Amino acid sequence: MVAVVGVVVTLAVCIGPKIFEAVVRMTDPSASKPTLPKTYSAGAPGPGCDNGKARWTLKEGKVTCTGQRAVYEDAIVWFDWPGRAFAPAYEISLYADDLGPTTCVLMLARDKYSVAICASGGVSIYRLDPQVTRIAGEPTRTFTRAEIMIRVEEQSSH
Amino acid sequence: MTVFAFNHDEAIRLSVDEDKYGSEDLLAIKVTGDDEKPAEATLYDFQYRAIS
Repeated sequence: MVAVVGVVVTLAVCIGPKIFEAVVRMTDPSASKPTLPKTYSAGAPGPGCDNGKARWTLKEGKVTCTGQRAVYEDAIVWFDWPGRAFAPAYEISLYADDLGPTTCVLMLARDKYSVAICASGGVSIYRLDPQVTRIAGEPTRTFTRAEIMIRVEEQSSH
Repeated sequence: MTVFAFNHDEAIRLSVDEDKYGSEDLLAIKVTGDDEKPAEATLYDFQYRAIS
């Protein structure tokens, strides 16, 4: 039997000149099942491209495997691991190359956030719930390749 | 959540402290663009790393 552990998440939301702070209690979803391996790598991240144990699911569009790379065309792919939870804090890194002038690479994390890296110039974080809201963003120069690193973490106490 | 994005010699860092994190054990990758022509990107060297 596995105990479910409560987690205290401290929040500080900065909206314009105001800073809102509060503490909420939530259930730690990772407490009830084992977590993913500490690290997981995929040279070509996509369904049929990676022979590891993670699950890649094509939800929309097309993904073509070319050696150690995956070519996404208007595609949405889910990455998960059946029966295993993400760690409470983790990093994802990914390289993107050959971006068209209007192409954006988005990564959805924790079912609530979307990170958008757009070749036309711009990096943004969106909150998806209850509606899509841009909560951080910076303009960039236009580009055709990028290294993306996402760090998701929460403060917890038991 | 913190995001680093690098392109050529430029690095962008964004950080957000939020009221509550979602619980979904799922990561989604999406490549999209304008509606008139297909958006394409070549992705490689994906890495997940738990932070202890």
